[in-house]
Amino acid sequence: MIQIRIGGWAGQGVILAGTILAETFSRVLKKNVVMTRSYTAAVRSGITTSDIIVDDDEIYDLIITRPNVMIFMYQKTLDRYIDLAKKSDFVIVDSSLIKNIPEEIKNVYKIDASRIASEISSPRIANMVLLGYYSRVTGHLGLRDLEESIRNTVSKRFVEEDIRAITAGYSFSPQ
Amino acid sequence: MISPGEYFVEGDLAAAYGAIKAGCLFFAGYPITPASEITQAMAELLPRVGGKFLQMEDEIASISAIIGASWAGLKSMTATSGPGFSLMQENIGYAAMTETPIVIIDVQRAGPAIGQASRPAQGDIMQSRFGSHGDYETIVLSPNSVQEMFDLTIKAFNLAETYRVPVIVLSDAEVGHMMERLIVPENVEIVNRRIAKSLQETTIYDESLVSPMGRFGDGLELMITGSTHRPDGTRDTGTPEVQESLVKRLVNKIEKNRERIENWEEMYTDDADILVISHGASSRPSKGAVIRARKEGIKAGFLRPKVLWPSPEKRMKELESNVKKVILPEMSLRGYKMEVERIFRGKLLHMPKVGGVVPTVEEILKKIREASL
Repeated sequence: MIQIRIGGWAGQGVILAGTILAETFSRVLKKNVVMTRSYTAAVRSGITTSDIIVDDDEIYDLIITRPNVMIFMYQKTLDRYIDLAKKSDFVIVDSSLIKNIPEEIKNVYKIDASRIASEISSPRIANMVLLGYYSRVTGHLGLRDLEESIRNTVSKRFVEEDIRAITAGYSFSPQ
Repeated sequence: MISPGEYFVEGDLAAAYGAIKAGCLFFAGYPITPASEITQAMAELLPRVGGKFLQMEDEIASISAIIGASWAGLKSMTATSGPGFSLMQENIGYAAMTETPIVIIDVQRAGPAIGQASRPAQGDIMQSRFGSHGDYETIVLSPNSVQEMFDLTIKAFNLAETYRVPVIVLSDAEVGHMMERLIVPENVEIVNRRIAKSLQETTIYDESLVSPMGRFGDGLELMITGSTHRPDGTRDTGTPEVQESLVKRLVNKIEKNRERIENWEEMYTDDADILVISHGASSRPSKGAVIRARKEGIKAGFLRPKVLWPSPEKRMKELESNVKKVILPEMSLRGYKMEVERIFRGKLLHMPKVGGVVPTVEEILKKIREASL
């Protein structure tokens, strides 16, 4: 079983990133997947999370109990979920926006996702950069799997841009 | 329209797909979290299949509109959550009294009142059966996955058409909003009501106590009223026998057919000492906990009503003599407790979890372990 939480701020594309990841596991890799979401509207602002549970077996637990991966896109979200992050095998952060990472959180993998995204086109695709980096760091799925899922899910005019973003994230050396 | 194949969608959308697949051609509703996605999907899908979508001013109007549309011959549905479901209660009774097939999806959220709009709960179970005044019965289904949001919505239409009753799909915010794989099969079983060709036909009941239904516009001179009425629909509120035979039939339509309607999933019940009964979202970790308990050598069993009303009464009574303890994990202080307690009495260990969070396998396993000592 793999438990993943993506956490960010309303408007950052947390749900889209989660949906693409969940669809990749479900439709491309044929795993059982449950994805749940907690969100507010971007105009109201607030913490947004996307939780994904992946298993070969039937899925019984519907909520994240012991995360394997946490991907943080915003400082306040990391601050909120420090206790869960301490238990996680991988903690991936957008270091463009998250500067303060408590020492007790181990296995931190930083990537300047928003900056890399801006260099491609816009910080709005930082979510895709993080997905590419997630693939590189964890090996849970391949870059091609994500690419296939993006082609299936995302509106045509964004496909090439998103694929450039996941490729950039994947090419980034883990640190 | 909804092509066969594999999808990865949320429960609410799967319910809308199921409705379209079942032949629903009319939806009237008022958006409310966490059921708005059903309303939104029906607004998009219905025009494409020649159906009609109406956004109403409130939930009372919504259920009124679907009752009317059903009498116009269309399979009709609405979707809501707690506050809206409360507003619909009077006309659920009206649909029962006028024997109107309709489907209502209640995606439960934590109450009372506005409560936690986006959090799941299972507190509407008794309301779904007893919410309207007077003697009547409904059928209430309980999906626990995205696939079942699809499957049980189709089943709800089939049951509504078969028994001419309001059928409620009692989901919750967890199942409604979560995303999972959905398989839309090539063929699904669809049941359509028997249409009466004359007023006389509407008064002839089959062995299920159901008569063919008339349709507006066919010239049958139908009389439809929520007042006590004779079989031909004419109003008669003064004759005791008319009221007696009417309400007895409304109740017996479900009671006498209950073994055909009841539906549940069970596992490891043959030699179970501890029976875990659960429904909807909380049945998922419940099943996982029973499997884990078995691995630890605890004789645990699992029972999940997919139809909450009528309950699997006979099966529960059979199991009652063998089991030592019954655990009922659910997201409500009341939930299904009275029904389970009625049968298992002092053996019940109720395990309510309120706060808007689904219980975990670990929490339920702990309770099973305690019960086994």
